[in-house]
Amino acid sequence: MNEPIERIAKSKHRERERIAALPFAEKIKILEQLRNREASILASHRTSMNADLADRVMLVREHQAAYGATHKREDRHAG
Amino acid sequence: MKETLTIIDQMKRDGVIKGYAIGGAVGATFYVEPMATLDVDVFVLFRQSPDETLISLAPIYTYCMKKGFEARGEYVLIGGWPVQFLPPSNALIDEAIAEAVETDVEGATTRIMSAEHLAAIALQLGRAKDHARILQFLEAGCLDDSQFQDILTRHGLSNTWKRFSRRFLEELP
Repeated sequence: MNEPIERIAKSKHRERERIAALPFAEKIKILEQLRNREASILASHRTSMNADLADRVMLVREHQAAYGATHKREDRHAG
Repeated sequence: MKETLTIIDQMKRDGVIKGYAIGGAVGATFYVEPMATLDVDVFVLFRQSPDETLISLAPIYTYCMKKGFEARGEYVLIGGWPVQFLPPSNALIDEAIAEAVETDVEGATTRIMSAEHLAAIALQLGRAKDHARILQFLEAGCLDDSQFQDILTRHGLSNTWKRFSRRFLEELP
């Protein structure tokens, strides 16, 4: 490991030790923040998944409409 | 979280459960730095008569519903936290509940599994996140080695520990 990376690793380790040594009640507050962040990431992922799904549904409907219109034209010509 | 822990402890005082201990990520947070989790794992011992062979979580759910808490799938939402009540599935978890550490969180009494039991359960479960948790415990130096080895021997986990050590500890730089 080179020197700057080693310094960063040591500083992170010290920070983790400091947090680990906090009273449980304090750590619970951090746990709640982590949970809220995780929940908001999940919610935004779900929203974007739903938006993707809605886009796909729209696309399929547009295709179906276009396909239906073509077929109606073809049916008229055939008739 | 204070409300969550208070209700769980109240459940024991009201006789709904015989004993309990917090495990999982919330339990581990007692010893190491907090880790992201979405739920609270509570291992519970039930009051059972000897002729009862099936364990039912119904008394817990009934108690929680009466107190106005909502059930969501396998969780009960208490104080904003989804709480999963888990009956002990083996002797190691039975022991972890019996030997849990009693502590106080802003005036709320709660019981947390010992670091050695949490690490032994993580070893038994053996998923990637469990391995990461054991490494966290080791790095933080919060395991009493003789107590941990004793638990591993008593619960037939010595060989699993040897494999874990070879894989994760011996090859460290």
